[in-house]
Amino acid sequence: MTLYTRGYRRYDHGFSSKGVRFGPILAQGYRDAVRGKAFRRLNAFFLLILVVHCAWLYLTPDWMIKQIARQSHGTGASAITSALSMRFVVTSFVNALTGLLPLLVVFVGGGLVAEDLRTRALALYLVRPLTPVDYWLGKLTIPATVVVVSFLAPALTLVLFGILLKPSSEMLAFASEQGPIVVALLAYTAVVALAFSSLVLLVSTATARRIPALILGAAVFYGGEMVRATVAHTNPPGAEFWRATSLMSDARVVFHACLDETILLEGHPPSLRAALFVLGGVTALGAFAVLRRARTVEITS
Amino acid sequence: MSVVQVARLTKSYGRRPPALTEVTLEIQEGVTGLLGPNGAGKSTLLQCVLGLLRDFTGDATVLGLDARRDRLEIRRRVGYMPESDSLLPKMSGVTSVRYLGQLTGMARRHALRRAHECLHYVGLTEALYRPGEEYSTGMRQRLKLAQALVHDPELLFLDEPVSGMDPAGRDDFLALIRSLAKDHHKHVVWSSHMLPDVQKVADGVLVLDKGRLLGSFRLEDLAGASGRWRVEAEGDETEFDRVLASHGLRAVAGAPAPEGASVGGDGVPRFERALLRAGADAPGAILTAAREAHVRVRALTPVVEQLEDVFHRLLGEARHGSSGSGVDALAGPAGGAR
Repeated sequence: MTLYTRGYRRYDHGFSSKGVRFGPILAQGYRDAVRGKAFRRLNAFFLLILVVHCAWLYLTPDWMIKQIARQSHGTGASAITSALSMRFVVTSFVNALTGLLPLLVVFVGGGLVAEDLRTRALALYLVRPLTPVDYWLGKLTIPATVVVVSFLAPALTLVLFGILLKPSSEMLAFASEQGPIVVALLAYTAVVALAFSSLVLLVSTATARRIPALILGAAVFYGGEMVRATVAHTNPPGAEFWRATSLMSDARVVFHACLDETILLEGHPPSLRAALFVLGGVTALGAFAVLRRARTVEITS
Repeated sequence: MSVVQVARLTKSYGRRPPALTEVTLEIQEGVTGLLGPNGAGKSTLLQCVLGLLRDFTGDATVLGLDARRDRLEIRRRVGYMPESDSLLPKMSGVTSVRYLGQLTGMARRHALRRAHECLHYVGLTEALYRPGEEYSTGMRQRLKLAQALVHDPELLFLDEPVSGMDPAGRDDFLALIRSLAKDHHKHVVWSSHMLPDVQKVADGVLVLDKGRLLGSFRLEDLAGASGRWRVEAEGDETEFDRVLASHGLRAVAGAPAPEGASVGGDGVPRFERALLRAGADAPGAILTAAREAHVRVRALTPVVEQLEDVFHRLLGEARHGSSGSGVDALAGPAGGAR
């Protein structure tokens, strides 16, 4: 005899209409993501890179300041040199993490839809009061939140650290000059969070298995970078598009565009237009794949 | 009162023949069996009433809510237990039930408490914290029921709920469903191929095939009150049929006699007849007719039909073009009646 003979209790606490419907998917997915060893190791590495850059900002050697001052047409003004120094260090931080962020997103997002398809759990979501859009948003925001926590928060910490290094009399003025850097970091994060996460959800949906999704996701990210590097010095038909196949470079193009700089890449960098086109296309494709899968799911065998 | 009402519902997928054609039905309170072979349209019907498919014609309401317009509210008030092993990956039993409760709009702490209660109720207390992937088939079925119950729905859709369970576990599960319906006033729609199980718990049955409703009836109509009788007799069957007809009784041929048993001990032909809609006073009329036709009655028994017989007869009639729907379904030939 089972324990149900003890009786069934009614639920009388009601249902909350506060918050977004995909909130529980994000919360549960984030909890699951940060439990993984791969996530913790990568995050530890991110923190190490942050510490190195903080130390760099603190110990910026004289020769570098002079070099930066020379590059700023010999104005040599202290404020300009400091600002350029900050920009230099933050750019270095972004460049250092750009190669690692795809790994983080792939590890976190590779299994999100794939595992639901493998275990047929997708039907369990859709028989709840959720729409396919809720499901997509829930899954998309998991790697996006990880990007915000693992990248944006350390990046802003670095900027804040740089500001705090200033004497209190200069601090406010210096902080107000960091607007473009903050905007660039926010734009870069948004691009990475949306496009990288969408690409990972796309391969996760297409493969329906976690490990193939991890492999394919990493291959697309790093393969795109190889394609870009290959066509950087040539001018094949559709060169602009081929140069934009690297999402990592595209994200950096957006970052530098916000700083009103030209990206320092070997050969020709992708144009901002091509970069935005590819990033937008990947995001749209990812959304389409997940929504289509969710809309056509069979709830019965 | 009906909990699900469907009127002239038609659903097509592209250019293929419609999965559902002009289906009109009502699902009453209590436990209702939804029967039909593969491809009958059960899945499509469920998806339509849950609002997962909205591009159908006709109307569908669930608990008084429009299936297209109020689909999210319907899903809040309905629990669904899928047939397939739909397990949330890498989650323990209690976590998965709590999570699905949250997805239905329950606060986390309420959902967690409710998950414990539901798993306790279905008999999984000792496996609360084990990953769902390690559960046996029977435990998975119970877990799925707990998932369907977590938000205390008024209506439960169960898809092959006892599939793969051992006999003891199945009986236990059937008792649980009966208890939910009887003691806790849950309405249950039970989609299954296990007709004996459906017959044990259901109050009513709907039979679908090739996108059409073949019949709907109450199971109490199967039990004895059908007014049908089976006669085993020896003698001239043509004469017997003629005399029966003169008494206003309609007879059809029963199951053919087994090899070597088609004649009685004294060489008289033996035959079997099923009397339809004979009424309560049939035995007297049958015996009178037998006396007039000089036929010796060897056995006269009331027919208690099994659900399986009705189901197969409905399918057979539908495929051979003869009519049969509603309670009339119970009045067809009783060839396989026991």
